[in-house]
Amino acid sequence: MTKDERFEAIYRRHYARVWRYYRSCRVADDEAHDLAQDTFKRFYERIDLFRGQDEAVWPFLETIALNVFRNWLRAGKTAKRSANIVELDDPEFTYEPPAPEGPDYADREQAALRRGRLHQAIAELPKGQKDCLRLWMEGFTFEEIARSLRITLDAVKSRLRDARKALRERLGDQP
Amino acid sequence: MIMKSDLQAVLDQMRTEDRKTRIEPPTVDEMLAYRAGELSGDEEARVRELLICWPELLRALMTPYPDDDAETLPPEVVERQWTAMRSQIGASRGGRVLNFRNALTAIAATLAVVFGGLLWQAKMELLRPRALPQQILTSDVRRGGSDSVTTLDSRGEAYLLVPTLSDERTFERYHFEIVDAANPQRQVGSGDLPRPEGDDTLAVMVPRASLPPGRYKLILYGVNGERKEQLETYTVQVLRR
Repeated sequence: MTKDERFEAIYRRHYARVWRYYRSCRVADDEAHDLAQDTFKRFYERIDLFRGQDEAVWPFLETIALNVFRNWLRAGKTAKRSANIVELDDPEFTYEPPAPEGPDYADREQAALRRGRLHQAIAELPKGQKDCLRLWMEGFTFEEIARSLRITLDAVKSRLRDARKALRERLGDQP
Repeated sequence: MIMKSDLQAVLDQMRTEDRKTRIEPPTVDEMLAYRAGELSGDEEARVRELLICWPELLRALMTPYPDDDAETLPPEVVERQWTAMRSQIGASRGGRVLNFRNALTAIAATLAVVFGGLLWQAKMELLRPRALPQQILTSDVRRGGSDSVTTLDSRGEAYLLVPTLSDERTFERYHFEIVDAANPQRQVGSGDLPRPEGDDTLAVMVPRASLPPGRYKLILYGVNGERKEQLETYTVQVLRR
């Protein structure tokens, strides 16, 4: 079997699985396809390094997929930093669309104050509680938090309970 | 009361602040070692800190790989992606790196052809039968002591010297000596010559390496028994190539 034939067989067998992996990482559908393609392109470049049986290709693919995902996240950050500079005279830039209906100035000020206090309260939490709370806010389940922080499920529940209590005590019924 | 939108806004702000100071996420090796529990206490804490700043990576790291569920994508989607992939790897195959290799191969092949041709030409040149040019030598007496001397033709690996004889006597054999013209004591070569037959000519073959550039005298003797008589002297010169 030639290199290309071997690659095609692995691609057809595992493409959907890699795509699903990215989808489970909460990547949008189109981007998951792009990342899966990048993963297989890199795999093609390194296929000679993979000595095992094709059935055991997963660990190899996982490392590549994780690397691709890491670079993609970093590139997203880089893209923001290196965003195009907009000319001030550009009519597209100076065009002011009608203001959408939304909270008025006082509401925005109040929200900013609330968030400032919440930010401060979270920052002052003990580190273990703060880490659990952040991951919980990111949408991790208790089990995922436990695995991620390498602590027990009970520890996660306990820390989160303590964190909520501390925040309530700190913020009370403040608006 | 804590509102969900406030939590989300604070979370985004914290992530942004964190990534200002922790720009680089952990490496894949570090992440895999973290998951496998292979890091020391300090290293584990450092990687965990980074992963909390990059929760997307943490999620990817902790997400178990889905089962082999190739059926979840319609075959036509996989086919479309494969077509795109095939064109991509086809492009990379014809890309810069491989072109560079092709160019190197082409240069190497050209050089091989050129050098092969030169080698073949040289071999054929060596194999070609070649008659050494005869160098007819006129004796110094005949030339009347003129300064003009015979310049040896430097083609070939040897000189074929043919001294002309004015003495009509015949000898049992002949002998020659070649000496440095500037220093006659320094003999460069010597040898016996058989009695000429047929065309009555003598021929002396001298390897070219024996005569570096300079001026030489070839002295010819006639030998009868024990008696050796000097017959002629021939001055020749070898020029620098």
